[in-house]
Amino acid sequence: MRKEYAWRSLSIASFFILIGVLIILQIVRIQISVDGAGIRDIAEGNKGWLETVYPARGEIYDRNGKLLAGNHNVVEVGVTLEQVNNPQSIATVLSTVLDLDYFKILSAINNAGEEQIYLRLTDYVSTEAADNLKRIQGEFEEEIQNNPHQGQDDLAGLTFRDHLGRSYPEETIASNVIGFVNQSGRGFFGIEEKYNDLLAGIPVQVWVPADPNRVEEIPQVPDGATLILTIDRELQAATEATLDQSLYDYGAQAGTIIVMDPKNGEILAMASTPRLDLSNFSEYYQVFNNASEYNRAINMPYEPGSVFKILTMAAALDLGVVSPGTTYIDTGIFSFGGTNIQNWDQGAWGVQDMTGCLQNSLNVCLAWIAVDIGTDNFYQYMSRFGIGHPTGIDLSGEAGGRLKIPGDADWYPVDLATNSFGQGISTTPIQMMMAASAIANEGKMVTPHILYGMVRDEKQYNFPPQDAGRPISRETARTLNEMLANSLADGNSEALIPGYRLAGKTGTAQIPTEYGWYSDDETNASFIGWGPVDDPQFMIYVWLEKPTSSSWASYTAAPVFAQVAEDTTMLLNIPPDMIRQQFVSGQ
Amino acid sequence: MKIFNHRIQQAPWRIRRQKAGAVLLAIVGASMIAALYLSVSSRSTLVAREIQTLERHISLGNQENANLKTELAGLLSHEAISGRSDALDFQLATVGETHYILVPGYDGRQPITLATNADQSINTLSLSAKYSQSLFDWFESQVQRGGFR
Repeated sequence: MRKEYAWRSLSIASFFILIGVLIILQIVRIQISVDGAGIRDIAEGNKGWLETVYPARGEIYDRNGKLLAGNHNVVEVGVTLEQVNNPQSIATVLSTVLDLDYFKILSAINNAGEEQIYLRLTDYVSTEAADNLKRIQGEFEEEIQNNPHQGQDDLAGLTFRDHLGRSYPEETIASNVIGFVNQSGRGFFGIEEKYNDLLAGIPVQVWVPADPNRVEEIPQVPDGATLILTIDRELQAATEATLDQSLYDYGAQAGTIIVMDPKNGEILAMASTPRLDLSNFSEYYQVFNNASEYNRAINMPYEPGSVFKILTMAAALDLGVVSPGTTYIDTGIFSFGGTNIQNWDQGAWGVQDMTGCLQNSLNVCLAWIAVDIGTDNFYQYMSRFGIGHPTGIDLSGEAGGRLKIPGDADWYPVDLATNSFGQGISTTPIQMMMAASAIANEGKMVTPHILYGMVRDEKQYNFPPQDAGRPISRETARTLNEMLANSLADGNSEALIPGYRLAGKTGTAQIPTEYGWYSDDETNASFIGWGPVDDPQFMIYVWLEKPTSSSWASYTAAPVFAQVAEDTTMLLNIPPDMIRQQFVSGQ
Repeated sequence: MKIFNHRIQQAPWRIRRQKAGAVLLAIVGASMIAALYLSVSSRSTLVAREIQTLERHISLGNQENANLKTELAGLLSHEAISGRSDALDFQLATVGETHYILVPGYDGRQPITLATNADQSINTLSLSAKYSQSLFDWFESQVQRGGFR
């Protein structure tokens, strides 16, 4: 009886053993078959995926903690191809809501590769527009469920992915300083370009396993560094408003105004025209003709004209060639290098002391001084003032200007005389400010900078001011300071504001044409000044390009300086001299 | 001897039952281990998925924070504030309208400090050591200064 049933057990056991053997054989066959390698690759691919974690781009603040550049939610819109039922619907809705090209979308979906899973259609869509699309998608789905029929509108497959994009809450304010970030995350111009590596942080590639048992914690990728600028938003906005108004009032083509602390080189405001709404950086090509227009304060060298005379005078005083009381008899003409130098009014001003030479902006007098200083000394001093070299300000694209020196193919002896009053020489406004900082700052020149501090890993690092040398002595600086303050006060300059003693100099420069001579009817009007004279807390540079209401800086750039100086004293809480001196003596 | 063996041998049905019991025990044991393994691995899977979800939440939270910060900056932008002040009939004060008073100890508005751990060197100088040093640091400083002599 037992043997009768034994064969049954054996059959069942053999059957299972056979199945086991067949499975093992099949496994071996698959392993060694031609398709084996491909199958192994697919299995490997399904194990997980590599994901790049991009850190959030660092924010940019002004000196008082006002956000100038931050991040906001934007949406990438794409399609999961295998879920798409009606590409025409998707193309129609996207072209209507997002103003995209209908045929481009349709063609992209229809021509996607067979192995492609996902197709990105557009990016940086606002959350409002994405919400609108999601609402339409929901309405279509509801309609399909309630009333299904052939060929109806369907947005199945439309996918949304939130991520951060750059945002500039102040729009155009300080846009020339900040720069912008394009859609691939690269900074252009200003701070965004100069500190792109710091702001962008370091992206990290992470392996994300599909098997949940192998999941590991995604490493915390530190955000890009947060930057604090020396800019004061309120002063920046006020300066920009003054610049815009002055272009209108004086019919100028363009302009720039810089406000700097002459003691430490901190840029408090830097306005330039035109300006770009950073949220619409794609309009760059409509706003600017070339890159040097982005920030005239640092990108665009020009012949500064008479503001340059302060440097010539500084060199002469420092060398002891002249003193404030030195007199010069101005006959209205000074011949040098085969050329006759004349004053701005072609007049003869008679006996003048050195303050008078500055106050009346006499080319003849300054040319005489430069010749007296001598070629080597003059150019040595100009080099010490940093003329002809970039200042090293921490903004991208700074231009160096041009200082022709003896030995250069295009230098002629007459250049010594013309350079003395800022002709035949090219500098940027920021170079002039750096050079003049030595006069306002007791002989010590400071490097202008715009980065106040950086926050990284929850620590703040503040950057100390950088000295740029001492081109003139303390005594020379003090003397010249007094001379420039007196020249403004005695000349009843329009640059003065009540209650404050200020020092400064106008500059009206002829503009060289492409044919090599100077234009008769176009000028550049400039003014450089600082105050309060006994304790300078601000230095302002104004450059108005080709003003039409008057070609003279004393009627255009000087009142603009006064307006900015008044705003600066109010916004930086700088009391009038008398009150400040009372406070100081009271302490 | 054979008879003796036969007498002390267990009954065949008993042996079969013992063998079946051993097999069953092994099966139950294996099942328990498998169940335990499944339970643990399913729980770890759930936890892993939860970690992934939480990480996603953290990332979305950070994103939302950044977004809100920017929105707030937009609401407090120069243009928005100027518009509101204009609507309330405020106007900029002039130098003549401003009164200055001396506030002892006030050095004027200083640039912002965004990090709690700002400028280490300044903190070290201005803070007394007793606020930052550990007991060991204090002991070490006392030894160096010869405070225990």
